[in-house]
Amino acid sequence: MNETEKIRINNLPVPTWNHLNINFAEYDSSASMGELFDKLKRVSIKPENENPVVYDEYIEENTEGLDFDFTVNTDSTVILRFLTNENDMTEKDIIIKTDGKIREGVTFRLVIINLTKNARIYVTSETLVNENSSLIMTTISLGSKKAYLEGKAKLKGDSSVFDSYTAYILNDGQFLDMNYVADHMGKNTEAEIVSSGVLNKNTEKVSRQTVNFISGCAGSKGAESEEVLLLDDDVKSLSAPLILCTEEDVEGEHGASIGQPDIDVIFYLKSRGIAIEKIYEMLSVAKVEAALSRIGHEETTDLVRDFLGVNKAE
Amino acid sequence: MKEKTYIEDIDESIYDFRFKVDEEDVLGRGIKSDLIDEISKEKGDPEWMRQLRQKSLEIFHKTSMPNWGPSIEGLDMDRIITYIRPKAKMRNKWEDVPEDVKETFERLGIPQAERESLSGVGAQYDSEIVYHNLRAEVEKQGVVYTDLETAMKDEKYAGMIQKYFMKLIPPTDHKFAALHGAVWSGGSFVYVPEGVKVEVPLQSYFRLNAESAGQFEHTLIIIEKNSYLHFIEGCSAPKYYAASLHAGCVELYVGENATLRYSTIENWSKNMYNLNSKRALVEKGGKIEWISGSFGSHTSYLYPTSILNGEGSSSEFTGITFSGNGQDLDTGAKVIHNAPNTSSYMNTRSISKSGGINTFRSEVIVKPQAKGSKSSVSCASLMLDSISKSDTIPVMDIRTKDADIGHEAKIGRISDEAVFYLMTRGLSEEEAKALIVSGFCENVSKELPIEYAVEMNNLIRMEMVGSIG
Repeated sequence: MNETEKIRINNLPVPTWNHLNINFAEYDSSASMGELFDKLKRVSIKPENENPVVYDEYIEENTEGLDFDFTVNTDSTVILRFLTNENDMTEKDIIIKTDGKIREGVTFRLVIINLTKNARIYVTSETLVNENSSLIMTTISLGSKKAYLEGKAKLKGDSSVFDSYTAYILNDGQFLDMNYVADHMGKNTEAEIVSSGVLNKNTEKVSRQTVNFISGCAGSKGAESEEVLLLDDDVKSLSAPLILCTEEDVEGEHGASIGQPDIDVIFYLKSRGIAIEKIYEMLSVAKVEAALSRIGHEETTDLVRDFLGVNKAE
Repeated sequence: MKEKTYIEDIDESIYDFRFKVDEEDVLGRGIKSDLIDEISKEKGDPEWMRQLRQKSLEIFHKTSMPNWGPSIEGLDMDRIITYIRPKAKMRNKWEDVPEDVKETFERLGIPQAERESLSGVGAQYDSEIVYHNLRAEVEKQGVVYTDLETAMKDEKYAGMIQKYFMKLIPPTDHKFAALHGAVWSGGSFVYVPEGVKVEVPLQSYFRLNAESAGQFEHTLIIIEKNSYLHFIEGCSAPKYYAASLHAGCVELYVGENATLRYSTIENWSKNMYNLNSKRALVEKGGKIEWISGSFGSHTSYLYPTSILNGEGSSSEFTGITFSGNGQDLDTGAKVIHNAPNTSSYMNTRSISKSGGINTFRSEVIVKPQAKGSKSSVSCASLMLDSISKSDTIPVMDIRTKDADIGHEAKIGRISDEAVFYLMTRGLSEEEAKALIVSGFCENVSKELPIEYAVEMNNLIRMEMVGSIG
């Protein structure tokens, strides 16, 4: 493949009407995805204690894509932060791939922070979750002209857990495309997939969420939810929350709320003398703060708040 | 050990009778240009319709099969009978209808329903309408209810039909809309003038008797400003081993502040590929109410669509789908909010058992101009065993901040706690589970007209037999 072609990524596990343009995202590339993955720089991480492993990558013109391999044998946290130096307006395409395997009885916290500027970033993550182990995934995406985020958890072991929370704020022409999938394979598995974000002027967001109950996963529960605040008229919010089920003894549910902020909340805050612009900012930042509180890492909190231009943690 | 409750498949034996088809009445099989012209000639189409058929055929050949949804590989288009000549012309007295055809509809209870609870009835047998009648008092109000072919030849309505026919669902919409445009036959035309409220429903019943046949009826309903109509559609067929095809088309035009309720109980036999298209265009302040029960068919693609084109227009979709052994039913609805302050509500229930596959598929599109619009979607699915399948695939496409969109979906089994509670109140386990399943459907069945609610209850016939699983 030499000429630029559109590669299909973030595929919806079961396709629907083509005219909705949600079955997959198109990623312009002159190579196949397999070829692109082969070129990634391998990074192997074996977190061994409770101190978070923090990996910062500044996206520059010569930055290579990264292929992280996590072997998780103990409760641990890995924080991947993708950044751009101040004044660097590089329009770089970057691919980040993570493959994880979580040993039995272990909780692994994977944090992905996207604070790049003009880069086009594709982060795809797949994790095998064994018996009694948990993947707690938190993603904050504030940067990039275009960002493609994918998180897949294979809940292979009985009583394994996938808990994913994604927060985003989009401004000025930004585009975000997400695909989160929980495959319930073992018995009594649990998944919760949440995305919560804000669309400001001329922005577009695509959200795909899937809980997939595979035959044999008796006793499993899966929930998806999405909250989207629409703050301008020239925004586009596209959502596909799927529940797939071939097992009787399961509970799956989805809830979504898309639109303007609650009128009662606005009324109350305005009655306290807060300007509407400030209210919107507060509501937006609150979504990111919810993600930061899951991470509980002060330096990351400061970094994100700096990016947002709000006060540092005290 | 958990006890399993067995729920019977829908009993379709009351629909499973047939009469022989004379081969000389079969115009042809497959989808070919000369056959399309022959159908057109047989029906005495005006030239514009003949051209539309040929154009649709071209589109059909150019359009690919859907790459989503259930498999339709078992459908051999070359074997499908596209048109069967009627044994007699359309009548408006049952005693004038040929005996075997009349017997068919009597066994289905249509003449009795007409006497007891309907304003008018249309009955289609294979390719053509064989009976149509409208109560005199309704006719006096200016209501028109006839077959499409008759209306097309009446100069009062010919222009109207040319203006509206396949404009909401053009042949370019999808492959089976194109097929419909090429081979359509039969169906109904309804016109309700401004301000007229048709208090008692009209009903069309579609019966496919022949083996390996297709039914391609077209329903065109236009209701003017401030009018009201409840239209009921029913369908059935005897079971054959070879695949049959239903690719009908329903186009509904709802005028300003008018309300149209369109109820369907679909109970095709389980060799049927039901690839039907339904769409409504709703003007300012108008309302479309879809009531949809899907029980039959081998494979279904069915998504009634509401285009809310006028300010303050609204749609409600209430649906229930029961999928049993060998069935793959892909059902749901679409709504396009195209004007300010429009609202839509979808409420569906689906039940899967004995290896049946249910898919709820929906789309809600809110265009930038549809400010102040609201939409709420609620779908619940019940799995009765672990060899069945149930998927929900909703999509929301929102393009204005001034919208209020809610969606909720649930999937699960009969709750042990609910069964336990009811058993503590003196019910047996079977009674408790039967009550829960009935309650699960009740939200939807209460929206059906009473005669159809009774039919639905007969259809489901949930025989709860406790057995140690």
